Amino acid sequence: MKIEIVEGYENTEVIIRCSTATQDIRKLESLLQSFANKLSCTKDGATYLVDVQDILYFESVDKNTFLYTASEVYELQLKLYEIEEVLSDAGFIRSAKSQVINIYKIASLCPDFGGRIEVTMMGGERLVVSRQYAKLLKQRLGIKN
Amino acid sequence: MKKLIATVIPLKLIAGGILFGLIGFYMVVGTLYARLTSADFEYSVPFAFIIQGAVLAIAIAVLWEVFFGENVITKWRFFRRAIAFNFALIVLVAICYLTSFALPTGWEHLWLIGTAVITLGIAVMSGLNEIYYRKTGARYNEMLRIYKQKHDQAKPL
Repeated sequence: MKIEIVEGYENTEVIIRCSTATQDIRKLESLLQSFANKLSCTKDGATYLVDVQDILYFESVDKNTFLYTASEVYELQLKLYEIEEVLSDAGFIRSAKSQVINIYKIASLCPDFGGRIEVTMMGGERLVVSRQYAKLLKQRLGIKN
Repeated sequence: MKKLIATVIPLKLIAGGILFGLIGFYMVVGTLYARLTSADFEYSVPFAFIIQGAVLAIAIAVLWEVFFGENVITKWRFFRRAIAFNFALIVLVAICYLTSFALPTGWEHLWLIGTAVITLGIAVMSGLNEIYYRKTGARYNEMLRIYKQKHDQAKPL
């Protein structure tokens, strides 16, 4: 694979030239799009670009990753750990083994039994932050016990 | 295997604690009940009671794991979990009572009082927890608001 960086342009542009758009290429596309605060994902066979600010949370079900906005559910190629790495600075945090949430889309928090935190997302959906990840969320928000 | 071990170890600890509690409860309450009502009480724990008590303790521990663990019911609040757990516990105790399993059947009043005390205890505990969680939740929400104000969601490249 040949990579070339050409400086001196006003806008950043990435062109991928390949024989076919394989899954790895799609993954690379998603990762690159995430830097532009957009994620490339699919729904019913069609590809969509979703603004990171519109995403409520990501969930992994049976090794497939899904992205939830207020009104739609999309599938994407990235794994949760990749999303966590790429979107950490954009306000995303792991909330359970199979879930990454957008802090900016949290409407309210309520502690629950066993150190868990119940999160109500904007739009009313309720999610549970497991005890293991509740500590990280509290640290991120600066909450001291 | 890893998941099984992660579930079994806390289950074993809970069951052990419950069995210890059951034996203690049997001895203390039995002594008091016998003294107050002049009923006959054997001041020793029958072997059958320990075996049956262990089975009952495992059953209660399983109920605990179902209602309060993170594996089966994940999205219920504490209040709902406590009510459901209490209801399941009453059903389990009733089954044990009707089948003469682990529970002495000669002490109807004692079991009724015991069940009522546990129910009341769980209701009070749930209520107090709910008040505490709501108060703590208000503090968390304030910190969330401050976080959102301080940090803008990352700008595009």
